Amino acid sequence: MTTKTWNLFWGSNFVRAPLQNGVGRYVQQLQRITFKFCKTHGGSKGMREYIEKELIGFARENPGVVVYVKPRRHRSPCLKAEYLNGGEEYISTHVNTCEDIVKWVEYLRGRSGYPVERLRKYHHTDYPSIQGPWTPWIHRHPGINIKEYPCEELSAVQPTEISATQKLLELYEQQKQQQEGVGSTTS
Amino acid sequence: MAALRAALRTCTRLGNIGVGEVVTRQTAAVPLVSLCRGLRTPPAISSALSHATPWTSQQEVVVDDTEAERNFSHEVIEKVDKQVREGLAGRLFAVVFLQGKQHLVTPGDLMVVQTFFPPNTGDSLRLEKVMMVGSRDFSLYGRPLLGQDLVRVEATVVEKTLSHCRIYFYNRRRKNSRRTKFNRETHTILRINRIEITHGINEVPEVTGVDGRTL
Amino acid sequence: MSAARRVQQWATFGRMWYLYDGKWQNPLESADKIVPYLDGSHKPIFHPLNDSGDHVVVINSRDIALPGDEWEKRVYFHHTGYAGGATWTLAWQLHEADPTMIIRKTVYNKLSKNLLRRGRLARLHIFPDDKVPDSILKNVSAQMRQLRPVPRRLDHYPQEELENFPKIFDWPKDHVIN
Repeated sequence: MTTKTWNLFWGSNFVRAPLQNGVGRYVQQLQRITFKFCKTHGGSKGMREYIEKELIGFARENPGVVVYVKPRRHRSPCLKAEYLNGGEEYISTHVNTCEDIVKWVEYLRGRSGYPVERLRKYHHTDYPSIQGPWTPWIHRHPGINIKEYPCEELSAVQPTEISATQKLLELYEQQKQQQEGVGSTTS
Repeated sequence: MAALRAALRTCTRLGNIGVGEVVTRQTAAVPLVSLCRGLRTPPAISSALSHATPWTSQQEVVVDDTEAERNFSHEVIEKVDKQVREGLAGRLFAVVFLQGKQHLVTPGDLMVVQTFFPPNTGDSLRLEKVMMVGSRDFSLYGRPLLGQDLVRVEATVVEKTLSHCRIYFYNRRRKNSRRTKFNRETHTILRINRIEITHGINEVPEVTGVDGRTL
Repeated sequence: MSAARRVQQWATFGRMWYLYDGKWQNPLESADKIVPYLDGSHKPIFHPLNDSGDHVVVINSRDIALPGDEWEKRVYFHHTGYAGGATWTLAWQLHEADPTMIIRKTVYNKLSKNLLRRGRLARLHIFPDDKVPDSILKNVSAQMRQLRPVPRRLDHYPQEELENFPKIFDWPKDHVIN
């Protein structure tokens, strides 16, 4: 499935957090969670086990979350989460084990309530640049603005190492200076 | 020296802060532009402009300006410190290293950690690996990290979720073999709360590395 | 958008004009240098969807230097589309016919193969010598560095410098030059 087809059906969005969450403090976004299950069917076995073993602990650890337990005859179990921003999420837990359901409940507890979408960017900022956006003139020596083009000085390759001719000339200069020095001492 | 000043005006390079030693890079003495390319250094423009004619002798009188350089870097550091102390630095930004990735953040940002990340929602974190911190007028670079107690970057975990379902479809043509895999990776959304420089950038704290640790 | 933001946008996406002196430069290497300027990938704001390519003005394209025996061995193929319409032109022949052609073709081949290629090539301005119309030259605000030094010929040196050049050894009396 290409990205284009994905966007046709599921869409995409940027990173966001409801109501500036986390700026001052973190506000629990999950408000209500409903455990629906059947008392007799095998598909609800894991859910029944969860309710027996884990649910009290979950409710105690999350006093801000309202927990509903809803038995329904002969229907498959599911989780329904409702969030502060009005978002809802439904997860079918048919034939899931107790451990799976622990994970799904943990997932629902951490979510913000926005629908799951492809993220276009993994970063959001209100201040895209603090030292100012780049321009082509940044870090450019102002001297090159007053050059006449074509400019031999800006075009020519910078010598990275000393050439043989240059070396020879230097040796020659040294020799000349030595000779001069010798000449001056003798005279 | 003028070139050094120009380079430092835009980019203050600070050395190992824990040791209290300041290293400055002298751009004027670097003849090769290509050598500097990988470093985050403003181009050595002055050397680029002063094209040595092939017949001038390479020998030149080197003035010992280490003292002047040291004075100058202390001057720059003092300016930065003054800004930080008086709260004139404005909004700070930082490059933090987290789970193998570098993130450029500023207070109020949301960022997504796309790997396994243990903290839970509502947890306050301090991001300790700070590679760089900057404001409108200065940038401090770590080599590779800034001193652990110099910069405080604090964040809150806002959301822990799974990404959208990624579909990996493998098909071998003419081999009657195809596989579809579904994957949702864990996403942790962090809100950056605060970035602050805690002490003078050239100061050496009496004890380092114990900030936030229970002893 | 405020006036300041608008000006910032113009500054960031300003199109620059670069000059490049092709004298004694290998066009194959030069193209590697020119192509990032044409497609904008030398800029930190580069993104495949934004149009941030710059103009490049190449001068002295008549004086380019192909390596080795490429002038005789490099062949440019063209087909008119009709039967028997294939032609093979040697590099030196093409260069004689149009001294801007070799560098243009090289850059065209190195540009990424997509629909933007022709538009990017249109921002490459090639001149066989250093005579550039003022309408183009007035836009130029920077010059790209050459890739290799331009060799100096013996007759380029001033007479004084030649005479003062140190003599390393004397030829033997019976030595015959040529």
